[in-house]
Amino acid sequence: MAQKIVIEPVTRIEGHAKVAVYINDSGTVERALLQVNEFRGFEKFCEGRLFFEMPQITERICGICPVSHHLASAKACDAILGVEPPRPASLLRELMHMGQVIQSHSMQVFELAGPDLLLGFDADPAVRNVVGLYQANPDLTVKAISLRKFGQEIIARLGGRRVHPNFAVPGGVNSALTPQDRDAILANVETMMSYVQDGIAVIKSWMEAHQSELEKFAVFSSGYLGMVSPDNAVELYDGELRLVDAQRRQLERFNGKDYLMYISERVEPWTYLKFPYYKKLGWPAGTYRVGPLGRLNTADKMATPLAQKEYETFQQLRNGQVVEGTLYYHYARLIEDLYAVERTRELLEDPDILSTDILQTGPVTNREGVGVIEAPRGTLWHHYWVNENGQLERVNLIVATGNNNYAMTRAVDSVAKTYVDGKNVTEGALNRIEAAIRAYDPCLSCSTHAVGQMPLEVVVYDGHGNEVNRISRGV
Amino acid sequence: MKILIIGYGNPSRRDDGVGLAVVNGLRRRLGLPFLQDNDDGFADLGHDVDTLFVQQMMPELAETLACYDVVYFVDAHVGVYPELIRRTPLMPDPERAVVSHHVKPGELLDIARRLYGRAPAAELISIRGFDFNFGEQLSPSTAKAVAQVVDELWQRMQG
Repeated sequence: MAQKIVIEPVTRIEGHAKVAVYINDSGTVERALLQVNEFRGFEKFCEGRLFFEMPQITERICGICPVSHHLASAKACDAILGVEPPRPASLLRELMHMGQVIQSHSMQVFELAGPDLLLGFDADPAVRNVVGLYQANPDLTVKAISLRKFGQEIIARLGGRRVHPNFAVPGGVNSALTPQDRDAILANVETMMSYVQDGIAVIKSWMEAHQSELEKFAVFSSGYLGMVSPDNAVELYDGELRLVDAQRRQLERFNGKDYLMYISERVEPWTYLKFPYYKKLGWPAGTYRVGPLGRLNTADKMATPLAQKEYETFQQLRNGQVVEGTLYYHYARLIEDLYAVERTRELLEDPDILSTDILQTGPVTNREGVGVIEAPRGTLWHHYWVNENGQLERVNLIVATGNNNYAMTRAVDSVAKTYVDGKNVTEGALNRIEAAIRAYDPCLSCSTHAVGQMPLEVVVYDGHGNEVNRISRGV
Repeated sequence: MKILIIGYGNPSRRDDGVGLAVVNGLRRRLGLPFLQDNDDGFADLGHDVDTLFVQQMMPELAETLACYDVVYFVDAHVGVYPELIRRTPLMPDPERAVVSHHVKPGELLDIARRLYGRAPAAELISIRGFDFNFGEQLSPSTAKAVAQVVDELWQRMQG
């Protein structure tokens, strides 16, 4: 008799999701789905607000990547004003963005994925958490927390608050950087760089020891999307978007404001989270991956020296071909973390960084505006339509986690088929399913713009919907 | 003795801002300027009695906690306790918060103890909130409880 296994909610991600695993009569997995069952409707309730409020409103979507929404929103507002922020303002926005990338990536790798990687997928769930992590490796944990603190400090020094800062405004930013704040951040850059490098060494060591797992854990082909500089280096703040196929051939290179020409969103009845895809290839052939692995597969290089050196090692993993294994997201994330620290130093050493030329204002000039940024989890679009008074008539947000929706479902399906034995469902197998999702660092709060509780519950149903087994933790 | 009062919550949701109200009530008595919208208090640490206001607990706060002898956490409760003001002694607690992007006070104490060698004595003061709609003004009952908590903490500091 067919069975259905439900993992609900998935833990150590932000938001509320469940995984349904369908088992056939012979006890093997037929299909697994990631279902996002929350809805908040930010796009709808922002209608009627004034556009210049949006950098403050939309950052409330999330407590972990508010800066991404804050900046993407400000960029969309720039477009409505039809102005280009002065160069110092763009540098300062990018600096805040680097702070967020550092705190978000460091938290994900060390505190959320770290327990799986360093304690093992099969470790007792009672210790497979950040407490277990600092029992096993206190030195690394202190460094991880320091990195988070460093990133948060950058955000706070610029925007007053560590979470939900008040900084970017249409046409620029609302305050300049002081020499004292610049020097205080700079004083820690070298140390933070060494901490990220220590983390990379740990991940590489883990990769060496877990080659077989890396090669079978949610490995699948897909397209990749990410922002690049004019010479195809990974770009996180501003640049064109590049879409490549599974053989790394460029499919498109376009200005993010034109995304509607290239990207569609598919709706499925079993989840609130939409599925963006590349129009020309259609659904589902046009699905792609974003985020650290997506960006590194899309680009040809990194723009800072230490990150570039690490990128060359990354490239050697598959002799220059795209790296498809989902667990490599963590390595890619730390390479970007290193880039973000290096880029922080570059920005702080730029002669314009202390300039007070930080705002270019103007009237509402355009009836719509698009802002694009590479959030830690991937490409983020904010698109606003306004009336002549600047009042929002329509809002469209395509969020990183949405871009990875199809990939996460494929990863869940792949891992379930590889590791789940329907006759003997183990905790380790279920944790691997969660780990496949966690590798993408999804923020379901962002992608559906809602928050949820995250205990884990696994329910096994037979083909008639009768519950035959239940595994719970943290409920 | 070094004392830290940490208010936390969302001051844009009326009574969820009780932590900020208590912190600013104490700052008034300490002769310190109020924490404003863009100020969490980190830049002003270093007194015998310090105050912070944060929207949520995050792991890096553990390092700060380890510098104090006593820490009071102040937050709103939504009626899950019968008391208007619930005072709960806290111990280091390794149990992980189910939501990934913040940590619980007990977990912070545990991180402080394990990673930074010291966990302060701590208490959670939960004040009943009645109105969590948009806005910055506390409901009358909650505002009254805030005044009571400020008095109480002030007296403890004098003692």
